[in-house]
Order: sequence, then C-alpha cells, then structure tokens
Amino acid sequence: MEKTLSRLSGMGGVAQSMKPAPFLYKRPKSVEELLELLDTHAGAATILAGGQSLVPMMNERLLRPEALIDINTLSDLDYISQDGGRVRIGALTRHYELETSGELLRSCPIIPYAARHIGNRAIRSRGTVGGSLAHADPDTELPVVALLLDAKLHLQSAEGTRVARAGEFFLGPHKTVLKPNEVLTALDLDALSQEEGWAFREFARAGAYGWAVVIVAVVLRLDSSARVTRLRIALGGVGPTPVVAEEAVEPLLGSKPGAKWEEAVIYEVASRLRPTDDIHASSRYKLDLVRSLLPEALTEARNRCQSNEGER
Amino acid sequence: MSSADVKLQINGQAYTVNTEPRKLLSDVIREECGLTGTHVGCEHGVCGACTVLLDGRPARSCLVFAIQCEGMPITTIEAMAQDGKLTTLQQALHEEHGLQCGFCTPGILITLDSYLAENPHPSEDEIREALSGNLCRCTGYRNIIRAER
Ligand SMILES: Cc1cc2nc3c(=O)[nH]c(=O)nc-3n(C[C@H](O)[C@H](O)[C@H](O)COP(=O)(O)OP(=O)(O)OC[C@H]3O[C@@H](n4cnc5c(N)ncnc54)[C@H](O)[C@@H]3O)c2cc1C
Ligand code: FES
Ligand code: FES
Repeated sequence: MEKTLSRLSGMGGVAQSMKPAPFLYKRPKSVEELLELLDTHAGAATILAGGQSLVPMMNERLLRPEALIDINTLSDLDYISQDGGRVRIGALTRHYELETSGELLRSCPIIPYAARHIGNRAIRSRGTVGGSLAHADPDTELPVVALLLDAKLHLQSAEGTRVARAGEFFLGPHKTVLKPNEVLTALDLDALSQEEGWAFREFARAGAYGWAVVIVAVVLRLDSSARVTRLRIALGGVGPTPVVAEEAVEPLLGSKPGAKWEEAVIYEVASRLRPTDDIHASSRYKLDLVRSLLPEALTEARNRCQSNEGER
Repeated sequence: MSSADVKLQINGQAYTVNTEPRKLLSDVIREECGLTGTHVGCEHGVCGACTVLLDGRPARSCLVFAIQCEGMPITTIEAMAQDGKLTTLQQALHEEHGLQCGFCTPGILITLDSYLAENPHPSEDEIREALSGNLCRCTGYRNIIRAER
C-alpha cells in the first residue's frame, strides 16, 4: 500500500492516489445523534450520504475529511409524503426511488423524469436527493428541478431548523448556505396542478461521462382562454449556480403562446445568460443549446397543458 | 483510525474481516475475501468494472466503504454460474464474442442481469442505455449488445 502510494505520488498533477486517507467513522442512530455529532465535530466532519460524489473525491484525495458521519442508516430521512398539494421528500431518498415513486409520478412527474437522466442505474441506486442538492453542481438535474419548483429546503442543526428556498440555497459551484453543523433533512414542493404542463430537456454527451452540458426545465400554466398565466424556466450549465429566468418571462405572461411568443421567450431568456467557456463546451455553444432546447421544452409543456385539458 | 471487525454477507456466505473504515468494499471483496471476480478499474465510479449487487441493486463497490455494508446482502459475479454451468446471459456473451480481455465482463454481467430481471424484453436502445455506465476497451460493444438480443 505505502509503496503504491509513493509511486503514484511521484506522478504529480491530478490523481496522486486512488485510496482514501484515514478518517474517524461515525454512524449515528438518530437525527438527534447526528446533530450532536455535527456540533461536536463542526468544521472537521463531513456527511456521507450516497457517496457517489464524495467517495470519488476521497479516493483521489481531493478531500480528506477528518471525520465521516454516515447517514445511510437514518431511515427517518428516506421518505416521500404528500399532504394535499404539498409534497415532502426526505434528503436520503435515493435517485432510483425518485424515479419510481408512484406519489411523485402523480404529483410532480418532472422529478422522476429528471432523475432518470442522472448517471446510470448503479449511481442511482445509491445517490440521494440531499447529496445532489448539497453537492450543488450547477450542471446537474436535481438542483435545476428544485429551483424550477421553488423547493423549500429544511436545514437542521442542534440550534433548530431553518428553511431556505432553492433560489437562496445555491451560492456557487459546490457552495451552498449550509453551515458546517447543519444537515439538509428534506425539501418541500408544491404539486403541479392539472392546469400546468412541464418539460425537461438536457443535452448530455453519450457514454460513461454522460453529464449534462445544458439543462432546460419549464413549467407553464394556461387559463381557460389558453393564455399563459404562469411561466417558470430554470436552466443548468449556464452559470455558477442553476438559474431561473424570472425577470425575462414577466412581460410574456397573459399572451396566447404562438410562434412569435416563443421567439420572444427564447430571446428574453438567452440574451440575459452569460455562460462561461469550459472544457466541455464554449459559451456560444451553450447558448446555442439553450436556443434549441428551449423551444422544444415550451412546446412540450404546452402540449401537456392541453392534454390535461382534454382529460378534464 | 484503527481496524475493527466488519461482518459481511457475500453470496449468502458470512465473512468477518478485520479492516479500517477507509477500506473500500471493492478492495475488501478482492483482498480480504479472495473474490477476485469483481474487478477494479477507475475507482471513481465511471468504468463499472466493480459493479456488485448491494441489497439486490447494482452499485459501485469502489464508492462504498465495506463498514457501511454490514447487514446488507452483497452479490458478486461468483454467484452467477452454478456448479460451473454458465447462465444463459453468460453463455450468450461467450457465443457472440462479447468479451475479449474480460476485464469489464463481471461488471457488465451484474449490470445486465439485474436490468433484465426488471425488463426482460428490452429494445436495443434500452440495452445501450442500460450499459451506458460500463466501459469496455476491447469489443466496441457491438457483440455485447448482440449477445443480449
Ligand atoms: C459516474 C458518475 C456519474 C454521475 N452522473 C451524474 C449525473 O449525470 N447527474 C447528477 O446529478 N449526478 C451524477 N453523479 C453524482 C450523483 O448524482 C451523486 O449521487 C450526487 O451528486 C451526490 O449525492 P450523494 O448522495 O451520493 O452524496 P455524497 O457523495 O454522499 O455527498 C456529496 C456532498 O453532499 C454532502 N451531503 C450529502 N448529504 C447531505 C445532507 N443531507 N445534508 C448536508 N450535506 C449533505 C456531503 O457532505 C458531500 O459534501 C454521478 C456520479 C458518478 C460517480
Ligand atoms: S472501479 Fe468502480 S467504477 Fe471503475
Ligand atoms: S473485453 Fe476487454 S474491456 Fe471489455
């Protein structure tokens, strides 16, 4: 082991090792015990959920947490519940559970649909919604959907619980408002209504590194005379956090959606975005992706409204 | 951090290994339990060679610590062929030249076997999607996909 390490560390640069450094392992039996541990180890402890983002970074020794607090056995955090139009999802709910939840398929079908785009089945067996939000990668599915649906995130510490809206939660790539002694325990969302249509589109590269380049998600509501009364568009891959195009769509409400209207939406949204170049795509290419994904998404959301209409 | 006893259940058999919390399940399976059918490639979740069943679902054994798997049934490739007789899927992969060096094969078999249990009649696109998390550097995938058909 030591020999392998010293040989690899001679390589310099990216991967110096593929085994994690030693850590103190804690497995709390209750949320109370978890909060206590977070308090006593504040700053030195890292929460281990699905491990699908954390463990690769530990294997590469990009991270060396002093203590790991494993929340995988806290089944109290693994649930999906619904109370009228309000849906609550526990932070430890796995991606595959989002994908297959009958409750979500009825109340918020965009979540199972989006979850299906995450990595592959083996990743979705373990990865959790709380981990995806706390990891705050701006190019990933669940942060975009949480922002689209204006999710309210419950952040708990020994001092109590506070609620942050998705729009305030993300501060930058892998940066959130979570404090070192806090855990994300659940998120609340409003169920989509019969009058609302949704669409989710992403452009991802094929293969094992199938991460999204750009993500576009839409919720659209039509009134009885087919005028748009709500339009919410969230995007990923176009900035340091997922973004919601609020200002951009304000003047476009109250109209009947047609080709001209669609063009205006695309113009208003795209002209406010300033994506940066990265190794996956140039800024221009990302904007081109937005301009081609958004019309598809708008049409699909509108069609969903109209087919709901037919069912009523 | 000191070692401790970790009790695992692999392919229906109990193992007690004395190991550190930082030891990955993939390494324990291979080094402590001697089950070397589970392969290790990238160790960051990308290649799929280390895929096993955890609680009946496919998972990367390089992204979970062995100590986390106490009380969770684990299935590795060694559980697949019974009494030296290949399963239909293994036989098909063999006949269609779905492997060359065989490095990726255990992960591919575990992944596909669990997928086919849920979706017994997938389309070619669905097979491609199901295999999108498994890298093979030899076959170019064509023969693997033909074998599943
Ligand atoms: C090959 C591969 C492909 C992938 N593809 C995608 C993809 O296409 N899209 C995608 O979205 N993801 C992808 N992922 C990542 C995967 O979705 C992860 O599951 C997710 O990013 C993190 O969730 P986790 O539960 O595994 O969190 P962990 O890895 O356990 O934790 C991630 C971070 O969040 C913190 N954390 C976790 N839970 C909480 C909590 N409840 N409260 C506070 N902090 C917490 C941890 O301390 C850590 O800092 C991929 C991963 C791999 C290995
Ligand atoms: S070794 Fe685990 S996915 Fe590559
Ligand atoms: S057969 Fe060699 S990697 Fe797939």
